[in-house]
Amino acid sequence: MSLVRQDAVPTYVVYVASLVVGLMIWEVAAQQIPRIIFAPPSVVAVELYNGFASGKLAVAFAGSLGHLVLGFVFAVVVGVPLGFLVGRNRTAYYLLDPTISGIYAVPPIAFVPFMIIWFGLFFEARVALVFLMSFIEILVTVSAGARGIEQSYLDVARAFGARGRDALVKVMFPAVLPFVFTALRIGLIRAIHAMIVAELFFASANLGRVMKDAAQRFDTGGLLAVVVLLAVFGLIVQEVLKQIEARVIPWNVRD
Amino acid sequence: MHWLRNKWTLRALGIACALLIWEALGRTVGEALLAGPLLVIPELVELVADGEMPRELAGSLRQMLLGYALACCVGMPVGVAMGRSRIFDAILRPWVNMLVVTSVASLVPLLIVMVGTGFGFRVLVVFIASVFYIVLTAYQGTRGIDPRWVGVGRSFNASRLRTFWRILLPASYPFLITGARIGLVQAIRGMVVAELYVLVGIGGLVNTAGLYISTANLLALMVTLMAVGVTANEALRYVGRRVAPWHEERYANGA
Amino acid sequence: MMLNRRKVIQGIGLGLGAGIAGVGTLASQLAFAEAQRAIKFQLLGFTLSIHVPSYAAVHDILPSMGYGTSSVTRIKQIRIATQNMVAGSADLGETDPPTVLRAAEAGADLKIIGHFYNNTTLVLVANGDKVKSVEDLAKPGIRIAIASKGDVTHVVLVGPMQNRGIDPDKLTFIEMAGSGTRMRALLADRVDASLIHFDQAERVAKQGNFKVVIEPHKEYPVWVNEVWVANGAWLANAKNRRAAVDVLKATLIAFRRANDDLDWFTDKYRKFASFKNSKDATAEQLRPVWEALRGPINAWPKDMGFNVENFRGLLPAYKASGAIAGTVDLDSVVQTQYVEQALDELGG
Repeated sequence: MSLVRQDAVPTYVVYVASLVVGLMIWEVAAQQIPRIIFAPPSVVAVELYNGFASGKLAVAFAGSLGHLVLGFVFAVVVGVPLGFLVGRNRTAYYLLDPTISGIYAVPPIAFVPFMIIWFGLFFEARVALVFLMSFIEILVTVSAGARGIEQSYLDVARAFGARGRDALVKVMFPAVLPFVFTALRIGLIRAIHAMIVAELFFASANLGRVMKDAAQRFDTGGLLAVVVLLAVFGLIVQEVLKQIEARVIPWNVRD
Repeated sequence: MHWLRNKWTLRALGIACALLIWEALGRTVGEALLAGPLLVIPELVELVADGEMPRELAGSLRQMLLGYALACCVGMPVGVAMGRSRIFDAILRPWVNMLVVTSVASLVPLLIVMVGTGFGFRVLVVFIASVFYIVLTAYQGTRGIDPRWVGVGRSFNASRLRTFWRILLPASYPFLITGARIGLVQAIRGMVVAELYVLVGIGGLVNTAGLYISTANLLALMVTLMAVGVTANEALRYVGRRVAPWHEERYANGA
Repeated sequence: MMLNRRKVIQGIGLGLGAGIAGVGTLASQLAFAEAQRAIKFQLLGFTLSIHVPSYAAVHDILPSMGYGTSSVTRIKQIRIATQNMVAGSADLGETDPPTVLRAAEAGADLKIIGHFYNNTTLVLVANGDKVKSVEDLAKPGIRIAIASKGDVTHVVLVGPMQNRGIDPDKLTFIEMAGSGTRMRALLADRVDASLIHFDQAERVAKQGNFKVVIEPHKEYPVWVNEVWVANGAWLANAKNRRAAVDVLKATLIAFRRANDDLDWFTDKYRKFASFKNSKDATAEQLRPVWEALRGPINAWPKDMGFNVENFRGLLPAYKASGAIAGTVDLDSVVQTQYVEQALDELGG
């Protein structure tokens, strides 16, 4: 299977053009607003360059990655199997679903005062918040996938003649995998959110501290530099995840 | 042991276990750190009887539902368009992927300049908090439809409409419902986050709860949010069954 | 001729009369328009006992002076509240001086026009097992929770440290958003000291061996915790300047009543304080707090005690804590003429 198709180049151009046009709109719009409230991308770019040239942003980012990775890996290891269990096992589902739905509905910031009791204010607390936020997301998505998707897929398969175990292995398992990838993706997005929330709401640290310091100084350029760094980081990890998905379940990715 | 198979027995058992663990933890660390359910339930009754909390909650939910409805109306078609068209995908994917990891908090000063601190602000924050998740899930679902199925349908001489109804819609339906559910949870969280900035509604009450030594008040509000989340989720499930009866959830009838 | 003259005079008289009536109507219409004006306020998160008079001024006294019902938005974060004032989303706002001065250094055209209240009720409460004296705070491993470096919760500790010859940079500050979270971190033994309002201190003390180690209002000769702020462009309009003076008049009236009249204070406390059982508070319950506020803390001076020198005296502490760089032109940001005019008009 070739990665470069004939239409890959125009798509790529559109992708870049969209980014360029968006940045231009942001630039023009931000010029109309006082700098103390919002900064244009040109200023943010300078801040990003300076931040990395001085090493300040790189060091803070590396520090942030520590609890992000640890919390997310824990969340995947526990969340995916438990999601399958809750989705496929009737007893587990009815036992756990009310509690899971309840915890799921509350903004994670509300849990911060309670997490301090057991996890303190530093690294452990940040790992715990990243874990909680991505774990619950992975659990909910995987169990929904394991519960819901198979019936309709089986219906389709049966409509075209598939029977018994053959239908389960050939239809159900591949059908749940996209949900696992959705779960990983949303879990990762929530993990990045949790990473920065933890650094702002427990003892401030790493990128959270850089953000807070910039905000305190009304340095909107410095503040948005961290926001953009996280957005670009989020974009890259999602694209990487998409590439992995394309290798694992090629039938699921059309381009 | 037949009674143990009943879904209501199982649910009650699950909730009872969660409450027991909570009460035990609460007694260990004390009311100032974590009030147990025996303290929170009377507090909740008092909050409801007092009338202020239900009134604030109703106001919060009104703006949340508006923001969420807008997010669904925009998010689902956009997600489907991205899933089925390479051009849409290339234009929107970088922005959706970046904005979904961007915390609403960093955009708050800008949003306030744009729409002030009133109803519009709260609706906008809810919209932003939920729309990208709805887009991404719909996108993932529509992209994941196996083109071979569409081909199979066509080779059985199914019309385009029939293909859509029998294959495309059933196949993407679980994703749309999952997206709607994830979006709803994010909308409820976004509602609280917005209200923690402008201190109105249920978020304003959560903020005031931080003043009290006892955590019973804060936890009573969190339980309220949980109840709202669970109720909304059940309502979506009901709507899902009504809109698409072919998508019968496996355990919905206790089968 | 006479008839004619009389007619002419009559005519003039009629004309004058009509003119006067017209002007009168216009004036009353203007007065009516002025009377119906509702001022947009942006206030901060909590109403504690020290805030009560200014809330009464906004909600009760100003409407009694002929203004419409005040429109009030409450913003949790001082930084965002200050940004909103720059954007002009409210007429008058409550914020803290270091944040306004820092914003001015960053180019914002904001003016401090009066005290929201004088001094502060913030106190530093510490875990008595680990902290016996103020000097113990500088020991390694002692963690002090503040909101963030450079805001009032940080700056207010710098003076007391310098008074005792302790280098404030030696302290271990833990920055934590949310006063409730800081309080619980102290209770959970995750920090050793935390700044809270004295409304809460007594209740925290009941939870264990917690005691007040620093009372900033006893350390600084003058301390300004919260101020009225307006946008410079907004103040360029004469009608807005009039509104600003009226708000300060209302604030002064509230300060004077709060000082003199415990029953009035109790009534307003019940109406405005954030605590959920504040509705049931009695004058006797509030008396100790009220005595402290009008006595040693001097929270509501009858003349407001507002002058530029108060702020000049605090600049060293602001600079030492990194709250400001020091480039700010204090005389341009702090404008006393509105309070002066309000005092003139009120008399006494």
